[in-house]
Amino acid sequence: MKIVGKKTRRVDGLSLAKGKAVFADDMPKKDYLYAKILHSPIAHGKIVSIDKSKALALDGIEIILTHEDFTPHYFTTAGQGYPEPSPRDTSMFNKTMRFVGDRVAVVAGESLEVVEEALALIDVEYEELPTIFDMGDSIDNDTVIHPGKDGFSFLHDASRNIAANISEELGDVQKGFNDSDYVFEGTYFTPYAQQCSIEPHITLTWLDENDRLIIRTATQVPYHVRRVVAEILDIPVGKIRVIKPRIGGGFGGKQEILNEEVCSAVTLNTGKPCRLEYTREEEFYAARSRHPQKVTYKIGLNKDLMMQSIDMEILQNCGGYGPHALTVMSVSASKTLALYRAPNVRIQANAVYTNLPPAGAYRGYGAPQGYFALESLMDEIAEQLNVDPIELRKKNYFREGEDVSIAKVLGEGREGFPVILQSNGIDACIDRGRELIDWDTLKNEKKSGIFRRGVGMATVAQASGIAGIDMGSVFIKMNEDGSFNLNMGATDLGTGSDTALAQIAAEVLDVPVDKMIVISSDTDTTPFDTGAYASSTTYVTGAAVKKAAEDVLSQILEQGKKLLEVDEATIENNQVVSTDGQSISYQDICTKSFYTDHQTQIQAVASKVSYDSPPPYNATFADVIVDTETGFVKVNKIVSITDSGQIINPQMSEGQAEGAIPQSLGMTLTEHMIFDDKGRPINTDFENYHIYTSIDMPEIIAEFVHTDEPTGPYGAKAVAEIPINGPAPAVANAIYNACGVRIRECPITPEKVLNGINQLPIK
Amino acid sequence: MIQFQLNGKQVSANVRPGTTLLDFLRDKGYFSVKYGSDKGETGADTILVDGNMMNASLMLIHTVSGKNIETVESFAHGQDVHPLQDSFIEEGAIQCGYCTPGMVLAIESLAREKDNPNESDVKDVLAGVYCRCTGYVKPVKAAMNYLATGEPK
Amino acid sequence: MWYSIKTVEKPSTLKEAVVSLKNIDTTLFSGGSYLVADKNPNIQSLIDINDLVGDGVIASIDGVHIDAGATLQTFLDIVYSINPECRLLKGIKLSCPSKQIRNQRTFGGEIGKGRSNSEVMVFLHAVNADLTVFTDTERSVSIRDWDGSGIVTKISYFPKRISGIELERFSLLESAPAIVIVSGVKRKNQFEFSVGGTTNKIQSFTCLIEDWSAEISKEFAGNAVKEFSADHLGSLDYKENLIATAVNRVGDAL
Repeated sequence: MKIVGKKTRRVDGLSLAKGKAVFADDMPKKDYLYAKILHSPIAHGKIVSIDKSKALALDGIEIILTHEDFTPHYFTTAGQGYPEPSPRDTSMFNKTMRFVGDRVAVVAGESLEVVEEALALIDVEYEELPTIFDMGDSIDNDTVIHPGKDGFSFLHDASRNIAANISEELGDVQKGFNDSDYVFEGTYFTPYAQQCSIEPHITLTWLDENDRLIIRTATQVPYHVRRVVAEILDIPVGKIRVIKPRIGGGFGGKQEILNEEVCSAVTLNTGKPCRLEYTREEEFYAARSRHPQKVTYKIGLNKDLMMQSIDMEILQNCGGYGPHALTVMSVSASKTLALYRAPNVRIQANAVYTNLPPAGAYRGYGAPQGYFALESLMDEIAEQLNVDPIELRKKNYFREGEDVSIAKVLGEGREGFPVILQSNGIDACIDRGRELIDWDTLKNEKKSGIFRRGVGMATVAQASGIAGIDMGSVFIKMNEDGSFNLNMGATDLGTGSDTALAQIAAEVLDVPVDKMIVISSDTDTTPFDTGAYASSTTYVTGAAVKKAAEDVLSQILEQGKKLLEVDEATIENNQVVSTDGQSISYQDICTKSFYTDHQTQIQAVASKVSYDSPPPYNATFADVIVDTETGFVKVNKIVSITDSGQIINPQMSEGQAEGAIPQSLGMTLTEHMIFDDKGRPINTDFENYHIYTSIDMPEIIAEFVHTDEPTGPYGAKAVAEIPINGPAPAVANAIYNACGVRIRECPITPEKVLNGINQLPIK
Repeated sequence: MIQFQLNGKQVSANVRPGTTLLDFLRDKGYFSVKYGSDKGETGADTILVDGNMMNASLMLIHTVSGKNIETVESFAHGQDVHPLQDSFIEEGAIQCGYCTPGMVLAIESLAREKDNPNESDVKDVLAGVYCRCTGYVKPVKAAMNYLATGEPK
Repeated sequence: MWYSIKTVEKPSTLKEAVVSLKNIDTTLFSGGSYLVADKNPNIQSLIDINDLVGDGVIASIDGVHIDAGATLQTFLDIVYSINPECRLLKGIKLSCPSKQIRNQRTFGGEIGKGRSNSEVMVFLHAVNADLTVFTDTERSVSIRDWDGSGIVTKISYFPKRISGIELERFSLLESAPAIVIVSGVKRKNQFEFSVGGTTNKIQSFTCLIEDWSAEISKEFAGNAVKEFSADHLGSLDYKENLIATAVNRVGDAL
């Protein structure tokens, strides 16, 4: 291959490096109305009355919209395929407030100054209701957060505060435990953590010259935005155009219809352009985050270390509303249970409502929570049985050719599709990581002194798109200079998918990447794509690109043969070459096809939906130092080795892993959204919510091992999410190796470690 | 009326005293300077003031009187690309690109200020430019390549 | 945009500045990194004193003199140019990990804000720096005794009077504000420790070198922790242990 697997500069690199006007807000000044949301100051209560007269009287205030202005229409803010598997439990403005930060009103005016003044002048009377903050208290609480209402759907059991439930069993788990030589159990917790894309949520809306609604927004899901806004505001989809420019990071946070419908409502009601941008503070309490989960794993195995039964129980806090409530849990289960084989498997999961901010999609989408539990417990089992944790794992992996039966029962909101593994590079990942972290020396050296060093590891899997649901489509057309337009709905959220997909097209068409002109994510000019989530773009849309490019290539060949008047020809170096030695260049073929001979536009469209979703695999190793006098943990080094099949762009793929690691380390050690006893957020800035910066970074080594996935474009599997699953359990395991303390609750704060050290029989 | 140099040109600002330099620059179409937070932590608003990196969102307009302000817009004219920007592209140091202009200015200020800066100097100037995409691995590499040779490798 | 700001005054003397300051909707403006971040809507007028205080740092073994308008970065650069090996530099730098903000934040602002989780503030308490303060006239007051009134114009300390100085900090990440900061100096026959971090105020303790022991550091910690509170960073017991550990490490290093 000439281009796939080779270093390729980003197609958008130059414009980004030069700071060109490529992001949503980088627009020449229009006469925008500036909009801001009035957020609920209380965690649970009914709005009794809203008096907006004083605010409306201010000079420059254009409009204030509240629940009084709309007939309730229930939807989910989750940006998912239709019908969405998330509960439809919210409307644009609700009459009941369910968390501090819930939406009371939108105020729009000619300057932010007057809008902020107006926010303070809106008088809202609330009737406060009892609150639930601890997810353990939610089920069957006297307080019901979503008392049954018409219009709700997909909500599991509103009267018991259960937004979503999963209950599945393969085989007979209890019998499996009875037959096992050993049974181990552990419960693990992961907290609210925030995506923290540096660009906040921002949406601009206006009406074009034909009175169509234009939505320019920082989103991962432009097509879902179009569909949901149309539905909420009751206008035809064809009246809306959604444009996703470059976006400043998403990580799942922008897989949400967060403010687009509000901004659109202002524009439709006033006829004026509107701009709605979140502040950093709002990002922390009025956007989305990672679902806190309490995960209990119970594993039965025999003396030969082969697993007999796995039982997984999840309690998930989805906050005041349930976007992604079901599917995040489903991923926690399906991605972890697809790693190890056991004849008997059971999953019982509940997502419950509380009066805290609704969580949503965040890179890994449930898998990081599940893997923290599973891979911590695997080390605990190895420790107790006194066996090598790597050997224990290796005995139990699903292997190539095997049927990952859990995949079929756990689809995303409906039955899934069977997965027969065709590529699994986990052994090679482990071997390489073991060498790079110096495992055998560091694991076994004697630990002593105040500062103790330890190593830990974890192995993890993910998936490549959602089988049978994710769909990508592309349109390629040829230009007379031998360049090609590649138009696709796929959404590059900073990941580099525009480049990777251009590489696939260029590989097929036998042209340099700079001959590909990429336009993506504009609902008027690019064909449909479900959007950038579930690690789907390279695998699913990549296959669509390959298909369309192959079609274009065969048209070029046919047209070339016609123009050369020959029956046999091949394509070599941007030319069609006949067996008798004649040739015609791409340029000439296209020019003639446009203007003189056999006139036609060489072009193709293709769609791809995959019923396979092959798991990528990863082994993550951590090297840490624990200060045994204070409990502080410093991460020295993380090694992350991934099997993503054939890598399309090595440099960008490494970048995915290098960026995922500090996000995971944050959740493991330092990041934790916290709330006071009234449910008010405490740490809503970066002085108090601690993400890894340049000076905090450990040494990172991210590499890939090669496998060939027969179902993927050029053998590719997914890259984007998997590297975020491993660091948390690897660090927890390394802490145990360093000082003998097992922490089962993230973030692993110094005090928890020190308390553990103080309780050890021998220090 | 406040007068200062902006990317080599004399400009006048006749705006309210509470205007920050971030407000002013974005209003004038200097979109490389961006909003990331209100307290300057993210550094998406990084600019150079008399060669020193600063947060445009924390500067009131009156304090720049007579100063020399630079943004990334001044770095590469027309089709040319500054070797530091080229190094970022070459090294794969750009993902979403929201922080890239700030990083470029931070490294450039270091290059002007210090001979033979090392990796910890690079990390020090990047500490005030948050990036959630790259883990800083490739940006540091891109910076080191540029600082060592003045060119991308 | 800081909407409430109506005027920026540039008084021609400190005396004028002190008079203007008496209005409650008025505040002193130096580097602005704290004020502009907060954008307090009650403030309508800024008294910009940048032209009235110097921005230089003079450092020698006889004395270090820091103008109130000097930035944290200027100070670090000068100390570095004299002694690149100075172990304190790294700790002091973490008062403000962002170089952009170090380039904007002045000593006057830092002292005026009185932020207790600032390494440089804890350090200045440990060396018991002298502040030159203008109220009606200039006077000198030690930083530990300053009540917050008047305009600080200069900060001085005298390396000659101390024979050792150390700093220890504990934070979740290097870039995160420290939970506990302890700086200590050896002065004649005694150790002087200052304790800061996520606490209400910086406190200082003294003991004779000959009395120094792990017990003393526990006693200091027991007193110091009274100004701390329990939060997500740790319980009071835990913080007391952290303070004691930090004091111990600083004492041992001295």
